[in-house]
Amino acid sequence: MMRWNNGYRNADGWKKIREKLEDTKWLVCIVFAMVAVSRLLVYLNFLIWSGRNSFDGGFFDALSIYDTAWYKSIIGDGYWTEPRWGDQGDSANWAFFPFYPLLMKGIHVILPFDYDLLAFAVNSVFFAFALVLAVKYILLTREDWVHALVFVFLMAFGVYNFYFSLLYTEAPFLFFVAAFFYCMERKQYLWMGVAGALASGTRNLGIMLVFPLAAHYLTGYFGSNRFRLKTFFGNFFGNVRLVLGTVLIPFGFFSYMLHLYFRVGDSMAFVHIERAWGKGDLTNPFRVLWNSLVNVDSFVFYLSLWGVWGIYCAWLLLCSKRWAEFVMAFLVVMIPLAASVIGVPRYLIGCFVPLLGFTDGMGRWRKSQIFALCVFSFVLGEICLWGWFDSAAFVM
Amino acid sequence: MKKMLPVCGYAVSALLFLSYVMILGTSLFPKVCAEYRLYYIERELQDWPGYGGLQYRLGTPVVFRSTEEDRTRRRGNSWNSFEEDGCWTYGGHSALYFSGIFQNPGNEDGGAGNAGEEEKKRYVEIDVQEVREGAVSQVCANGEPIGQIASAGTFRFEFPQGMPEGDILLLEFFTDGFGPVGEDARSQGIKVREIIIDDAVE
Repeated sequence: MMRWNNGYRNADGWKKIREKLEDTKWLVCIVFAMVAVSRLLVYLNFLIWSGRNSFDGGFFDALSIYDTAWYKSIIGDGYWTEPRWGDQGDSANWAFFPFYPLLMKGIHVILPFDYDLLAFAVNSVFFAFALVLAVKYILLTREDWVHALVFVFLMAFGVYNFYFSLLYTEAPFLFFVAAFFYCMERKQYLWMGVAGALASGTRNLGIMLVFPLAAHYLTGYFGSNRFRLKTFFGNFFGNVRLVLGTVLIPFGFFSYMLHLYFRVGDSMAFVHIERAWGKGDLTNPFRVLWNSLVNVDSFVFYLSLWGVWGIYCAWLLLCSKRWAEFVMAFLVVMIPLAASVIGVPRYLIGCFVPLLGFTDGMGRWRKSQIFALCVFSFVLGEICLWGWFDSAAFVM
Repeated sequence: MKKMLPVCGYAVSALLFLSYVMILGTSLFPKVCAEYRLYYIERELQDWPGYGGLQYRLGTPVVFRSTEEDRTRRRGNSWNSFEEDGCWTYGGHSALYFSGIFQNPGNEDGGAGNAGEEEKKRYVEIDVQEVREGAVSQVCANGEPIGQIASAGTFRFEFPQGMPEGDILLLEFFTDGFGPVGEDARSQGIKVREIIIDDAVE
């Protein structure tokens, strides 16, 4: 059980917030207000940054860098039949999964605004609903509204929060993962399968959601049964919603593979194209982490610290025996690390469960420590946002 | 009706599972060109040649000099970077890839050997700028030894009759005695300047 400081948890002022959080209408209003304020802060930061740097471009010129061009190419042209971009002309948009660009293309037909503006609005809405689901999930599994509030604050105002309004997949992926865990916990397996299918169509990590589901089933089974082959498989196959929900999870992933097979001739093109970004075959993630940790003069050292943080979060989930969350957190740290430390921070923040583990660990913290952590995360978030405007490599 | 719903659920699940297995199966048999396979899947090529970029027209010089814009993109992984006067092999095994030599009808008018029914002998001419002292390189075409290089100069090696022909002509250099040259610490064997494959009429 969580050990949040009851001294302030039960104070009268906070009780009102608790009541509001438990009312879905109020919860949506509070979370949307927090996200709106945090988006406003992103814009204010841009105004200050552009003034100081005499930047001629607009807000979205500064915000839409790196992979946004790839998503625009998919929304505009679909998947290419051959590589076009990069120094050697060997890069192609196959590395990016299709659900989000497809969704944006559909929305763009109805609302033909600029892609960046549309993405900013759509992803902010995804982000807000993801946080609403996160609060509901925390209240369901932890029954702790302070925990939920800290989680929402760290997501909305903390480090890397700007990623959730870019033309990137962070916001929809966060939403689908949160929806997956929420539905799984409520045993709404069909909805869980739909969320999993959309997650696996949004990012390759989405297919890994079958593993937390396996952990969820195993803990449920061994919590009330002694192992017998008949009941082990019988309980699973006897529940048609669970079977269908499970099989639905990889649907997005395999649909994309099939599309690539007909488009490019290689259903694994999304993996093979990684060569264009200099990524080798998957290797020992601990070796990648260590090699980056000892490289203290480089920005990869900073990224590797996030890798350590991710392992710590997974460890906290393991200690609290939250098996499904632990499995997902472990995979979301290890799989990206097996290739490179680049992008690890945003993968961790954008995958719901690692931060959940971290805020679990904060249950033993004093109020002042939690406040200090929130301030630290906010300041680091501002630094990263300015780094993003400057196209700094460490925020990739 | 109520009984039908679970049956439909199981049927859809089974169908989805089977389709996943079939889609996974496609990953074992990609329908891609040689360039894609060698560069992205097998990671054998050092540079991306583009689709059809390994196609070779007989008599066309394969250039290894950094000063030339159309320098070759046929190198396997074990080559050093291009220099003004050629490119050093790296380590004991370096390869070059050519496609369309054996079956491309366009090659009929490409080289010297297109004169009617006369017997043609296909050869490779290798212009070697420099050889590391003591290094000897055995040249093989599709696994068949065709000659040996132990000094600078231009070497012409004929392809043997009955050489295994496939989609790809793999020209390999197996080098003994490779190592640093002078103060250059890179692993080097022979420095190739230019290569031409053509037909000679007997």
